[in-house]
Amino acid sequence: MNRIAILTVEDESEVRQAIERDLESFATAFRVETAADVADAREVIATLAAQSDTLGLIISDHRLPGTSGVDFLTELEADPQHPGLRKILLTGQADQADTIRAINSGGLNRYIAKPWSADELRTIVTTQLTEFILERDIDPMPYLGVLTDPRLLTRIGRGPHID
Amino acid sequence: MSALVLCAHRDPGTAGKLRDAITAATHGGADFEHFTTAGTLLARATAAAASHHEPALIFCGPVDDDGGATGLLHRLHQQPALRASRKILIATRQEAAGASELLRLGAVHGLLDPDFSETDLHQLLRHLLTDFVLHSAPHLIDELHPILDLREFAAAFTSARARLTKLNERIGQVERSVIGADLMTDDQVESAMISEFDRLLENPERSSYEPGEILVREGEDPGSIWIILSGQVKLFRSIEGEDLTFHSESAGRIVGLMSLSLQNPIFFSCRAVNAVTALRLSRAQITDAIHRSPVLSNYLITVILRSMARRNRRAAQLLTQVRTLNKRLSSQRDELSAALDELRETQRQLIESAKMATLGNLAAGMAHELNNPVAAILSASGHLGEDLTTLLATSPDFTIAHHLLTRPAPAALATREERQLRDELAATLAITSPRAARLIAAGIYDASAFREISQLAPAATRDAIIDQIDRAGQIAAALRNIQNCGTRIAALVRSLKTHARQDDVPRETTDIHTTLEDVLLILANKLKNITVLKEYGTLPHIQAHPGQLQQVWTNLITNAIQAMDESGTLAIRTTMANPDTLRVEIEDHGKGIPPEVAERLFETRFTTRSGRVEFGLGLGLPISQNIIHQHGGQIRFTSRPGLTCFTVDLPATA
Repeated sequence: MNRIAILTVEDESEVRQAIERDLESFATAFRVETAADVADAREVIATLAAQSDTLGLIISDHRLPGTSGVDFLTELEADPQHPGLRKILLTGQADQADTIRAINSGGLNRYIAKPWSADELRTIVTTQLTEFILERDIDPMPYLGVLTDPRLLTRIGRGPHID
Repeated sequence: MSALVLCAHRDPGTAGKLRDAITAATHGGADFEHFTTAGTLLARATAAAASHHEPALIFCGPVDDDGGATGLLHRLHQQPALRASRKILIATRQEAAGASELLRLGAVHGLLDPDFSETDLHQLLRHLLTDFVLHSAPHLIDELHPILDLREFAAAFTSARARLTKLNERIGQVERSVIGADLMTDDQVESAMISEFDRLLENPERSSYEPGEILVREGEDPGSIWIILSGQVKLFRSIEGEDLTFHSESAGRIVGLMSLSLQNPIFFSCRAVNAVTALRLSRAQITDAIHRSPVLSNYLITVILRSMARRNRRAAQLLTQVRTLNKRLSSQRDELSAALDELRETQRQLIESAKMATLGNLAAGMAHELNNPVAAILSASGHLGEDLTTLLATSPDFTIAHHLLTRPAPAALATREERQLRDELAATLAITSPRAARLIAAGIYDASAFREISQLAPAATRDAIIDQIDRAGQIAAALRNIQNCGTRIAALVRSLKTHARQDDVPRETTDIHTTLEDVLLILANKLKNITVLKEYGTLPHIQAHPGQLQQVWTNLITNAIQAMDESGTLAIRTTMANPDTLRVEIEDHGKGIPPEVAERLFETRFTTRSGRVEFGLGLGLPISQNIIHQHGGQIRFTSRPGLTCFTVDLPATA
């Protein structure tokens, strides 16, 4: 299938649905998946790999039942299967120590405090996905309907097609 | 041995008459030798004296030698060996007048007229021999006693005995001053010494000092000593500008003696405490007196020794006092330091509890502020749903949407299930995955459900139907979410309001389980990784302060969560311990409470956390204990690694 996937990890269903709704516009070009906890998220990542899709962006809460969000981001940062993966922490409860750990060990790209605004979330997701595509040198053609960064235009046809 | 009597006289007749008279008068106790010249007599006299037989009497009459009798007497007077011999000039009264110079010199002891009577001679012999024997030749007393004047002897004896007695007394005094001074009191020794000084120095002048007057200052040359006769002095030294008294009671009555005897500058300044009379003695006076009186020197030594002993004792006392003071000072310093630490700790806890109080007030204030908007949101979303349903009912184009909004909410699915159903539905209906996801979210889980709902709008295209399901499903979900979240906020607000309620409110009928549930709701976020096992028994409602009880549960549950590092199993049990007692047990499987901490767990100033402000913490356990005690209950705990249980008993009639 060769699609770029966005994975949201959030244990509260209302919050999860709200994020999903906010990211609705990305669903036309990207695969959008949600998970209720880290174990669930690992399952999604395994499915993505099995279906030849690439995890490009992860948006995770910190306080999750079981493994914490920061621990999960740190785990992914150390995993060579996800080069260039963009990571966003979307949380209201990470303290300073957790946040520092996320930045230093988890390769965190952005921190979004709850409550968030839909526009802010969409802008950040757009930027992070653009950076991912540029960094991985992926052909931006399939994503130009959603992503508008002019830098992408110079890369058309250069990188490998994923779609 | 007889007394030797020599006679020089040119006339043998006169000499013979004298020999006879003397022999008669002394009953032969005298050997009489006659010489006609001065030279022969002188030779005989010195020879006798050299053999320790000095002549008792030497009679000098007219001789032919130059100078005659007086010249001989002059020469005899110049012989020290013959000083004791009594010398008699034989001359008439007219002749004797020219010998006044000899009399003045003491070279002549008697005068004998050439025409002497027996009585005259007898008197002369008695007087001169008595004198000679008494002073120079007592061994002759036996030979000469018939002529001697024994009254003279008796008088001399009496006088000698008197002198001996006096001497013995003096010896005794010296002996007593050496040996017996130890048996005398200080006053006695000092009085004896003062009267000895008075005697030797003939009552030297007394000096008077006003109260406060300085007798001598430290550092001055030691020229004299002061013997305090009346009044009191104190000895002090100036130390860092302050007069420090060293001796007051122990000053004694002698000042300056140490410095004088050591020849050092005066060590202590001396000040009169009241009116003082003193005997001031110079070094010269003291030296003089000591030379003249061994008694005095003994008294002085005794006084110095006693004074030194007294001051030594005083010094020892001072040292002991200094030690005691130092100890007291050191223990006071320790106490102060401990008190300071306690104060700091108390201050820290006060700040912390002030923060907690502020947080509590803030929470209460926020709860009140949140109450209205959340009520408005709940109400508005309810109305929104009703109005929307009514509106949709007016158009046949929105039958599907109307159906989705009015039917009960679909059962919640796990995300895993959602993904599975989505993928299946996408495949069955041949639609994209996001579109399938919308159908799932709207509660359309499979193709038959989709067909069923499609029949509500037989004229619509499949895409239009899916769009309508998508939007209506989203609207229904959004409304439900608003209701759910609003309700949660309302519950949180209610719990917070109870929690932060002031203490002065009266007790109210309280369900212990409600207070526990409220706390679990507030702490839900912390309990994500905790399995909470609730074993609630049947409990009566009691009269209590629910907010305070919530504070206790918050504290105990928060401690349990921390002990388990925020994951594990927390058991909350409620039972009736007996018909009168409700029991709440909060049990964790954490690391346990170390014994040294356990001992002091309920002490006010103890916390194992380093000053972190967290909700319900700080003075947590002591406050919890206080609250439970105010409710007439008891709180206790058991703890070992892996199992800690806090038990709270509350009276059912509280």
